[in-house]
Amino acid sequence: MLNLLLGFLFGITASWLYVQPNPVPWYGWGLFALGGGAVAFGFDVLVGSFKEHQPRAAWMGLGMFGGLGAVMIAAAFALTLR
Amino acid sequence: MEKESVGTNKAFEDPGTLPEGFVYRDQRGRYPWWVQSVDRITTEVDASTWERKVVDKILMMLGPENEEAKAQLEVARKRMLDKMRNNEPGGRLQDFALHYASETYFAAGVDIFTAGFITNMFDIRAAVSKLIHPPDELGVPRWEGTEEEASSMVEAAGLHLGASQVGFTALNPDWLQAMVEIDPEVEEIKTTEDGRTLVPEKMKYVIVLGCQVPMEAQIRAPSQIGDAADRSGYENRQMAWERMFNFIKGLGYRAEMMPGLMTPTIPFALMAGLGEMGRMNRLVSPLYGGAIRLETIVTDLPLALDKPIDFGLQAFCRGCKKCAKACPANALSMDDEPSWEPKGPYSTRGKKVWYDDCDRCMDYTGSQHLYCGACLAACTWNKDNKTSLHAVAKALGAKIPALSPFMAFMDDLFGYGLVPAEKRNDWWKLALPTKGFDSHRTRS
Repeated sequence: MLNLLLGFLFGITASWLYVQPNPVPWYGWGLFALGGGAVAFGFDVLVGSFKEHQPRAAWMGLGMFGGLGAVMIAAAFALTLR
Repeated sequence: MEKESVGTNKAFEDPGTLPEGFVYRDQRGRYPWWVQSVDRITTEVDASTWERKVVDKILMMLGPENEEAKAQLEVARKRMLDKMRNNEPGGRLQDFALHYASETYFAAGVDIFTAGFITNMFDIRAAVSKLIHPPDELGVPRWEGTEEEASSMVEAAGLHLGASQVGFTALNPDWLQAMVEIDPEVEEIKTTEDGRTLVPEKMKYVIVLGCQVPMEAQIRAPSQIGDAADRSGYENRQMAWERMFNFIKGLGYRAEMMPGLMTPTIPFALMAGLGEMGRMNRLVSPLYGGAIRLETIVTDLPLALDKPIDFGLQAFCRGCKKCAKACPANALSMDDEPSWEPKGPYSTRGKKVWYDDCDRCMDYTGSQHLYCGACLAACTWNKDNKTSLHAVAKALGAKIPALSPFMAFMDDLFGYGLVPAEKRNDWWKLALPTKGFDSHRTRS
């Protein structure tokens, strides 16, 4: 279910970026894809680590990979909103 | 130097390489892509100095007149009772009861309250063997097939019967104890009047079983909860082992315990590709790290053998050192490089490993009445598989082992490894699967 929700969010965000009047450069799309992957990976670590009873690993994983992904996605947004 | 021949044995020319005259299994799909099949074990073995084991520290300590052992038991008993009375985390009455209940069908070890070596293993073997119905009793021919078919079938049966990893190798005389000999003249394993054990030449196949240890309990080592995990691992092993005897006998072939008393299982497991030798001087599995316990069966059922594996552990262990840092007895080597030089009289010569100080280890565990296992529990490779982070980390560790100091640092940063003493009792409130481990990790 989490993967489905992340997929929806990712798709909606990508669609919104695509219809912006100021087109996103190719490297912006690269950043967006990498950022999306990192956020998904961060959530994978979060959920999996809680299943493994490793709460510290869960939050570290989300912070490290999800945080990095969020920065990349924010950079992609900045490129189109500049 | 000419290779020593023991009795009528022809010892293998190089103990770590694949013996000739056997069929080998296709190794594809056995492990994830980052585990390579290789033609010799990754631990260097010197055939000219290789020493067949005579007796180990455990057997020495178990001698009935061993005053050192008696004194240790007295200390251990007092410590144990103090922990119970003080409700120390992982040492309370319920933790102690859990430990002993975890070895209900295994029960092999030193009992501090009767000051004796306890084992009901042989009684249980005698009891379960009554349920076997071999084909000659049924009046049908025994199972026949190719070596590959036999190995595939035995592996499937082994996983069903409780093993988490199954591998096959040959009965290399080098790995046996000094008083065990392979003899083409005998039909059954037998002991001679001068104390030698003779093994029929036909029983040249070895089935190696690896059984999981419940990780959440094991990372609470050294404590009674950690011991409950260790004993569960051995009991899982015991159950799979007993069942496998019956399975092989049910096919119409012979299956026996590895001859010799406490013959090391690790060399056979290395040859069968269940793992590599780690810094803790014990086997590390690419799937389960140190959370695995091993057992072997010798049989005359012709089997296709497995090959040793290499997942970069020899280089990885140089930089990681988590097990050595976790050892409460400081018994593990912190040297960067493995060595040919054994530590103490109970180490086996002729292999290049990170030798552990067996005396320190045994003195600590004996005086605390613990099986400990802290080194095995702290290993960076024993991760569950609930997040793909571990698959990525293991692939990185195997392919770029120079990253191991960084990966050990990250392992600590993420909070993996031994659980602090004050949190050991949390185990009782965790939502854990049956038997405490995820059993869905076998072949890739």
